[in-house]
Amino acid sequence: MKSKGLLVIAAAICAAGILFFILINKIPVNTDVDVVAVNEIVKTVESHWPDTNREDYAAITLPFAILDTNGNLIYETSAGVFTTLNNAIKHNSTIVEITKGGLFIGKIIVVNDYKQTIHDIKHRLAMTVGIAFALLALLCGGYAIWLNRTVFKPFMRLQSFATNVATGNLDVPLPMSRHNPFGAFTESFDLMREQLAAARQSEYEANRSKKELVASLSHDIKTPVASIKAVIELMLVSATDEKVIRQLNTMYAKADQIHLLITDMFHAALEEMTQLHVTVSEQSSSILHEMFAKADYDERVHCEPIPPCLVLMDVSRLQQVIDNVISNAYKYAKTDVTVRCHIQNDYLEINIMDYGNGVDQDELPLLFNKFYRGANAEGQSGSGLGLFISNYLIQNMQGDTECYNRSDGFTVVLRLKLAS
Amino acid sequence: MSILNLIKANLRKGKGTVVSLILLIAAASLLLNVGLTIISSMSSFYEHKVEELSDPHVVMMMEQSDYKQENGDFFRNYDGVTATEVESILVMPSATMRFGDSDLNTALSLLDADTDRKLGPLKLIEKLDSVPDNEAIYLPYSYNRSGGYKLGDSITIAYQDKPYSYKVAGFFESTMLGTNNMGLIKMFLSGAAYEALSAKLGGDARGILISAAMQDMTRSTRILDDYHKVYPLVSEGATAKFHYMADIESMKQVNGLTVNMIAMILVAFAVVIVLAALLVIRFRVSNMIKDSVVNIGVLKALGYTNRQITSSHVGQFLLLSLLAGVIGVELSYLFFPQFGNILSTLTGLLWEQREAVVLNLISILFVMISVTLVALFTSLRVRKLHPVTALRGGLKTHSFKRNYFSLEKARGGLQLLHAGKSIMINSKQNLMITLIMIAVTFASVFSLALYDNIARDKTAFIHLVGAETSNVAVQAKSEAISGKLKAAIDGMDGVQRTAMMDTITTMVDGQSIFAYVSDDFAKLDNQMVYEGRFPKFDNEIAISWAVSKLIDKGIGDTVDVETGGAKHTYLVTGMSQSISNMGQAVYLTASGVQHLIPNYKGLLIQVYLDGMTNTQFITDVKAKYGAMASEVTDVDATIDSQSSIYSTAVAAVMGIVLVITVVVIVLILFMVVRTALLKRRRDFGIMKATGYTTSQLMNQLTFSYMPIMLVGVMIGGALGALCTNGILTVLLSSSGIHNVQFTIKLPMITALCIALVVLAYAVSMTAAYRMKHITPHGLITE
Amino acid sequence: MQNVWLKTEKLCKTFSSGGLQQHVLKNLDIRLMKGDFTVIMGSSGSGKSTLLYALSGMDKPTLGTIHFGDSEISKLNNDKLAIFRRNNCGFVFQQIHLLDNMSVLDNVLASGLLISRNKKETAARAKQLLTEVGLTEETWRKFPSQLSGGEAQRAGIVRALINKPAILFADEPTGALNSAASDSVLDVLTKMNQTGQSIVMVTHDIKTAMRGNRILFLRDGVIRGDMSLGPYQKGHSAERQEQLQDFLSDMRW
Repeated sequence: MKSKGLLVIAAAICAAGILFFILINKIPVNTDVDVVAVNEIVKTVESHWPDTNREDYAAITLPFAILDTNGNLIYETSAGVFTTLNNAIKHNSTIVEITKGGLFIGKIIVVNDYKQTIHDIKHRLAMTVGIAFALLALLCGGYAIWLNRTVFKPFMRLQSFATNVATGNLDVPLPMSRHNPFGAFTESFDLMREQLAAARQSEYEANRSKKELVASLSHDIKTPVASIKAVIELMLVSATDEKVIRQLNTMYAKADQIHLLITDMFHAALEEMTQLHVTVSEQSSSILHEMFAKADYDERVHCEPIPPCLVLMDVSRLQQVIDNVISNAYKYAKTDVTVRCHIQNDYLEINIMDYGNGVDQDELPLLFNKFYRGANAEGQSGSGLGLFISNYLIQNMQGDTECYNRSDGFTVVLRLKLAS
Repeated sequence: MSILNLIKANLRKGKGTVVSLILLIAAASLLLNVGLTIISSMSSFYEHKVEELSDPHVVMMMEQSDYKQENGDFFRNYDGVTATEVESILVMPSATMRFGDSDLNTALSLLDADTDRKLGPLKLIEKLDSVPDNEAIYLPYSYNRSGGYKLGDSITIAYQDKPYSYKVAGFFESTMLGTNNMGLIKMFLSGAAYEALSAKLGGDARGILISAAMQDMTRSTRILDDYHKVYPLVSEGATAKFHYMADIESMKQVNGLTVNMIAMILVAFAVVIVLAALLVIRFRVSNMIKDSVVNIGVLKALGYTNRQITSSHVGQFLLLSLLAGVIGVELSYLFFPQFGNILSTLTGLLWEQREAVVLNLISILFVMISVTLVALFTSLRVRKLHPVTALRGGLKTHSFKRNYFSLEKARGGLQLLHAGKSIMINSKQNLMITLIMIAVTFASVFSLALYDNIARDKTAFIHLVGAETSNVAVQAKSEAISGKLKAAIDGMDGVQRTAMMDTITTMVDGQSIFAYVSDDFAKLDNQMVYEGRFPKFDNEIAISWAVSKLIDKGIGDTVDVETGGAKHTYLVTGMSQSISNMGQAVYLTASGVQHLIPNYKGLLIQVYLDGMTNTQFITDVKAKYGAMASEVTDVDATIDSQSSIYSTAVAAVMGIVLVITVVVIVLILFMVVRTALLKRRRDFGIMKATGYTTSQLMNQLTFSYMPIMLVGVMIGGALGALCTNGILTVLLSSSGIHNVQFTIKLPMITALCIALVVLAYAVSMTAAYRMKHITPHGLITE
Repeated sequence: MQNVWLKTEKLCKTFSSGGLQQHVLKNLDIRLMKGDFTVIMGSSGSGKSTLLYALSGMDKPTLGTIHFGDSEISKLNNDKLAIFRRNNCGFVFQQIHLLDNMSVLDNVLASGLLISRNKKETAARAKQLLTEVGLTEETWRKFPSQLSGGEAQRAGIVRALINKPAILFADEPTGALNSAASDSVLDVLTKMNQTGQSIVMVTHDIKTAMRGNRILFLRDGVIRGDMSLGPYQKGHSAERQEQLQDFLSDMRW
């Protein structure tokens, strides 16, 4: 893993070196004479001849000197420029003739400064080599330090760790450095220590929990055994004759059976007649809004906010009940209807209130009877079964119905059991 | 069999991922196919067109009075010439007409449409029969594409201050003289109109057109050189009398240059996007495989062999990439009309998309192989997994992490520190995003710089072409009075400066090369010399880079220049660059030319105005010195009309590049952010539980991408700013450019980069909005 | 007279999937008192975790209201709930859920700095709490993956407590731990409760439940039983356990 990084570094150094070398090589070494500049000097001198004002040559950077036909110095850019032809030839300087109108009028000596260039190159080379070696030395040093920190020191720590484990001291963890190249390696040592410690711990745990299990089981079995004992004791106390006991038991069971059969028969008949099969489910009270809206074909029902809760109901049967109650109100009271709900104990109480004449006080208890029709029902269609069935349905939803007169009208109360 | 079942199961699992992967692969193959098709069709586009239209390879025009039988015979007898035609035409050396939004001043040659010809026959693209015969004119297709003319429009040609009006009866396609950047345009007049105009203009306007076709069209340049060796151009003749020649090679060079440049940019961009897409695909594929590590564990436990599992994964991606590749290639055909449009605008030629089945196959195969390789390499890592490790869900290996951006110690807002932490987890992915951002930002900056320099502030581009951006050019009637005229114009109000700038044909070291002559190069706007300097003295010369390569001479060397029989040696002082004439040009001082042509003074005066409109100056000059000037041209208007074709094309390229950049940013960020939302659902759930709000977490996630986006955009922008010129130089080096100096406007690039970052922010915020659906509740159910 | 921290009225939670409705919580009226260590017990699927998350504002009830002090948290939108949680609630999860890309200390601070702008003060409090639960300075710097379960859960408790929450909610805090680690975690919770911290904890483990002084038994989304115990003290566990087991057997546990 880490050797990859090392290889990369080595490759990088190598690449940098090569790049450096190429760059150094690329720097142009120009010892040629700048012909264009020389031409400019010549042309400028020729155009100004015979004046040699310094200002005319302001743009020229090369040092030069002008000699006349006899070799006498006429002008030089700075003192020390080779003013004799011999000197100029000796130092590789450029000598150009000046002509004007085809006549030879003098010579220009332009100094070729190649020595300085060579000196520069030498200097640059020395610098490069120096820097390269310094970098290399730095790198080696850095690597040595890194190696010591990441490899040798952790190994040293591993040694003392091993000693601890060997002496049975399992609580001293192995310090792990974040940059440790042996992270996974040292960690597995530490894992080994933890596993050892955990194994020791779990052995202890297993022993203890076995004892606990025995204790709690013996306690649990006590309770049911006690109640069974109590029943047996009771029976033993009241029994006088063995035969009597058996006959009593049989009689009791048969009577019970008969009672169940009759109840079943009655319910079956009723269901057949009105198909009242109630499947109770838990529903949110918010659906009541919808149900009243469905029943409200005259749009005269004002439904007040319903407290949110979960109630037991059979949605389609409850709809049937609400339809019945609302239509009764429309039929007999012919007024607006107000629906008001609140939670009372374990019930959601739905008060359906009209503002009609109400029901005769004597008739109130009979309203929920089968085939009962009130005094005001004359001339109205109906079977007298509506409220009876509603009551039956609500009771099968574990609810309750009630009705009473108010000073300003009549109220039907439906109580729906809250889910629990 | 069982492998196929596995593939089916794999694909059914992540439909969303599969769809996005298909989109990406399709995009890659689309761009690849577009790029390949452009490259392959561009290399032979011109040749095919020349053949299809049976256009001549060389044309030469001269005044009828100059034409002698031997001129025509030269071409007929030249080795390699397959056909020659000589016909008489009408010539207007300087005519003005509307082109696009400005006036175009150019030389015109008018041909008789009713004459039969074998070379360059009239081939109409559109045609209107209802135009009466005596005013019907047929224009090159470029007049329709960039000139704004439609069938039935009228066109007025002003020649020698007289207007001639015609109705457009059709547009024709021609590779030769069909666009306005060759100095001369070819038009056809119906027989009746031709006769009428010929009678009106008289004998001076009669010209001769010599057309020739050759076996090998690349030798067309050569034939003109050889012609000049036999019939040297006398300097008076060259400037005073109309003479024009063109060969298909330089035609191709001039028109093909921009086309090639734009094609190359599109291709380069396509490559960038394809690489980006491949990177993303790699990321996607390895994610998909990593996500199914548990499944792999189950399969291994059931007894599937490594080979079966690997081939199911690889097969799945093989199928996907095949499907997506085909979709992409099909879609690419929607792009071609767009490209054809750009091409038609630039060349005035129709580009027909040919079915290139081989290229399509190559695109699909390339994409398929790349995706499959990625899948293969990722699956190989799965091979080594033991079923138990895989079942535990992990390619994870234990690693010591550093607690970056410690909340205790680091400074900065809480969300920023969180963002910093998550940056540190995904360094690989971040590197990928950064690279892609660098690439697309660079491409955007590049295309923006191109647009800015070619379509908006054209100076740099015009200088590159080698034209001088003076305001008005005045041509003197004769050399004797040109000096006087120049001095007079110098004295006029509103004139900032004037400079002589003329061209003559010369032989430089035996090569026929155009020479630009000026009395003072320092006064010119266009400083084409990039190394050394322009000639100052009479024995100096500057040569273009292309010439330098041709004759192998550099600064400090001497070259022999001859013209009209005289010969002189010059010292090279500088190297220049320009696109025109295949980059071949030399520059001489007026006094230098006098060594060759003793009486040379120059005719064309470039005028630079200051605080005066061109039209006003032109009226003034014509009123005051009309007698001395033979021609006054509005240079600005000419440049505008000539470069309009480039503007539209470059604008289109920029549009495409910017749109794709935006699409790439949107796609990548969406993908990355959505992946992060999936992968770090638990973390975000925990943070929501501890009371982080949705917007805080959205910002946290977004901020974790912003720094890398920022870095990518910044590097891309910087590269764009620094390297645009360098890349253009490389692109254009074959056409004689050595050092492009387009102005890079930093504020504009900065604005673009800021816009990209803002876009990135907006996109990642939008993508991160899904954070809303992460609830702490998810922690219980998991 | 004890103060009521949290009060629910007809709290219902319904999950519906594919048209099928499942009522997990039904008309719950619960009052949680200040300073109590309330334990919610029940078999799995009884809705105890759902109740915990509804009470703590992690999840919105389907019906009914929840009042925390004077504010009705069942009416808050998601962001307001998040702010409510960071100000008033601390959470301890069964799966611990530390952020694994940062150190233990940063995990604590990631919560703490949500409220406090004062880094130094918060860091000092975090360190003090970490020390209190028995985590050494060395563990603060570790990553969650390097911790044992008990250590991680204790760090989780510190994270929950850093903002001085009104109530600490713990969802089976010992569910994923071995018994030694469980004890260490429970000891911390007991200690915190003794210093006045209100705690609501969900568990189905009797030993864990013994730490509470009020046990709510939940079955089928309804509170079936509510029992108070004396304050927990070490050493009296046998008697307490018997009391609890009687209660649970009444509940047909």
